[in-house]
Amino acid sequence: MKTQFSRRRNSILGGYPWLGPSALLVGVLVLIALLLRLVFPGALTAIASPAWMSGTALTAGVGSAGSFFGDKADLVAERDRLLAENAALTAANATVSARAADLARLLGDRTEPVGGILAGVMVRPPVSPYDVLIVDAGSEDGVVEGSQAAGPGSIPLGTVESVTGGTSRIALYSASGQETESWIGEARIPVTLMGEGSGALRAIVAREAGIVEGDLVYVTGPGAVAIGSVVRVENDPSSPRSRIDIRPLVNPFSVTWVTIAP
Amino acid sequence: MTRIASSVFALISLFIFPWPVSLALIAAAAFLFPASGIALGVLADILYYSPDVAFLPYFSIYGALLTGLSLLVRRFVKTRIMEA
Repeated sequence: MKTQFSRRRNSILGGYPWLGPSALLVGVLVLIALLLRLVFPGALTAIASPAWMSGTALTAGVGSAGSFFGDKADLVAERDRLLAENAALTAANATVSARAADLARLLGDRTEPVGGILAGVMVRPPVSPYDVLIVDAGSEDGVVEGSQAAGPGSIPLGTVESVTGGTSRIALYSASGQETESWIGEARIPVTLMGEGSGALRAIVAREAGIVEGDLVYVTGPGAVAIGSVVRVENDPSSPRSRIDIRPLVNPFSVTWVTIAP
Repeated sequence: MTRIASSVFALISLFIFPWPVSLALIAAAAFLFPASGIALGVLADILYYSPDVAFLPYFSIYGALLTGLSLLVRRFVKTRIMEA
């Protein structure tokens, strides 16, 4: 007796003969990429860097493309206003510089130059799905794992998580699961900051600590360095603790340069 | 051609667009070419994930789910003429 087998039994892939070989090819490519990340991370970033740089350039280009459609008269007026403002600021800067030089001669200069390796940001959130910055300075430039990375105004952003020859990966303080010891408020109340992802941070403190919106949050650096400010304090009447939501002073979504402490 | 174009566009988006856009493009590509869902998800995590910044490689998980969903849709949903 002839047995009839169903051609469709266990045939999720059966109707698409091209699917199997294609999936195999894709799997092999992914495996190669995985090996590159684990064994030769520098090679992977070297391959990806041109694409990241192109993406950054395109993003910047989109921001300025709108000016093409601006009214000519408005643009001329804006240019004139900016020229006048620039002249005024140049004069003011000369005055301030002269005053600073006089004071330095009088009192001495205790300000030391800020050390650090300057690095351009190739990838930042939200292109990166995790709170990670990938920058164009690596071990060849003197970057080592665990170094602190800072944004404009020397405001700390995170720590170097891994390094290759020409690039580094910086885990932001706001990365999900990151815990950072810090202080809040003028009284420097010690707390543990917890990353929430997407640039957000939170902390849990005793309600009687008296934390209010606008209080600054500090981490260790040369002294206490402000990294964020309190934007919301949530008090639950049934709990002796308050939940504090913190916004970083430097927006990680728009940071373009960082300095990395060697 | 559409399958290849959608997968390539989703691949490029990983380097340029915000991740929600990339995820949407990966979802679209996965429904045209199921293997691209998991492949692009894993690739995103190879590029950006590290254990210090997230508990799980979310993009790989989403990619695998999208691939599974796409295969199920292809298996059970067939084009046919609806009869009254």
